[in-house]
Amino acid sequence: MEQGRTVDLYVLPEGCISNILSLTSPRDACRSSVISSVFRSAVDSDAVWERFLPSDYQQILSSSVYPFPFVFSSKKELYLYLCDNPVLIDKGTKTFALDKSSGKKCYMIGAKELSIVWGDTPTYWNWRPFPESRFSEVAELLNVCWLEVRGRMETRLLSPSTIYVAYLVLKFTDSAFGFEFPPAEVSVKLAAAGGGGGNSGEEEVKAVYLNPIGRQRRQFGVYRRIGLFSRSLRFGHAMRRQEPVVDAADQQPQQDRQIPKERGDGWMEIELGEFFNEKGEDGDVEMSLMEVKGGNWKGGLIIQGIELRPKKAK
Amino acid sequence: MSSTKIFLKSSDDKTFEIDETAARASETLKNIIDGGCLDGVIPLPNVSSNILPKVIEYCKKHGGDNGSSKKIANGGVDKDKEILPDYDEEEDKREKVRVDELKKWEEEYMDFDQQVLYDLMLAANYLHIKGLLDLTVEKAASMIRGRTPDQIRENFNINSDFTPEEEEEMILIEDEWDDEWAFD
Repeated sequence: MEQGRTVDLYVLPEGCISNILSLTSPRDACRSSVISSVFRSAVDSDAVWERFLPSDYQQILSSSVYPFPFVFSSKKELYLYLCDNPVLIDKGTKTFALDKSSGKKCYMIGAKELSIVWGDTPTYWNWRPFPESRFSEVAELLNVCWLEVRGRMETRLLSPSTIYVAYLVLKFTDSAFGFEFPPAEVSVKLAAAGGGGGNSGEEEVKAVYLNPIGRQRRQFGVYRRIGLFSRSLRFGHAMRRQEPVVDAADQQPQQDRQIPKERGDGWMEIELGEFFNEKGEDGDVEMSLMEVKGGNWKGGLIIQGIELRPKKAK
Repeated sequence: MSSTKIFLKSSDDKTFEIDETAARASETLKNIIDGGCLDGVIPLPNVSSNILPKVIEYCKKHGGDNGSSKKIANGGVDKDKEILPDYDEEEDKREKVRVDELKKWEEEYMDFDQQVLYDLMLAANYLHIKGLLDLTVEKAASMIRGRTPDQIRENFNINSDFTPEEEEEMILIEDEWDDEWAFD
């Protein structure tokens, strides 16, 4: 079966090949397993996957809410498990998982750990268990004018030298209303640890459209009417982006308009922004979503949490 | 600065000369020297005369300055200032020039084909020359990163030793992974 197999590479001890593979990426390593049997056995070795796992993974898993008793036959198996099965940690306030192609850390901060304005007022927000959520409770927006959701995370917990993207993970109920206009504003910034509304770091505010997919068409007409109306009302009100929201909506090419996207898990997500985590010495990252300018009532939004994961390399 | 000469004998019985300071870049040689078991010539049955001069060239460049060779080996990621206890700007500048120069040297030094790569990696492994091992391993890793299996086989000049059935199965597995990655 084997024709003209050269032996060059096979003079290397397997440890050397594992060493080489551990300097690539999980994705490269898996690809390499189809090269030859020597590669395959090196790819499966613990030496390789130990390097792909975050160096502090054991410490992280030790704060798992449910005991983590699973016995994995190999580090590779553990790695793959952590990619597909977020682990509930830190008293159930967060989940931890791995980004499959890079092995970098992904976290979701549960809704309970977020600061939600009016969140304590039962007529505005309802806290309840939700079967498809990772966390014991989700936040359901019943009815509110001032929509403001903020999350914080210590950057030292994230993988270094990594661009992270933050997403609000959400769903709409069938009776969702009030998200047509104006767009919500999202931002992500690095701030001094511990709060105090950090003033370090740039804050870039972007507009996103929360309106549930499928209703877009009808809403365009509405945009304009309400838009003109609200612009005249607020004439002179300094808008962060210097231009009235209605114009931004009209001018932004359709594909640039951020709207919630389907996730693989039945939820939707909207991007809040991204940041570069250099060494994890930047204190906290602060993420927010706000819609407080329209002044209209809105409801029917279910928030699971905010997810932080590495930006996909294109 | 001792300029004691050490003699190394390759697997094919050729003798090479190296300064003791340079030889200390190799943990294996360092242990032999420090252990006092030095008996004229050190035989290196695993290193041929083709590759030994290349190894000696590396040791000459790096012997006696382990600190900076380590920094280079880390790809410059870890050039923390705390390595220098008395940090001053001039020193930092000189260090930067030196590191840049060393990087350039390493680039030229590492310009060779894969047969040399394997031999050099083996020699570095055997002689415990960490910096050199890191360099060779990194070069090999760069021949894998972002490549398709076919490109990797070509880069390393190897053939698949799987049966056609096995190969089919592996490709299926690979596709599955790729799909998953594309999805999320």
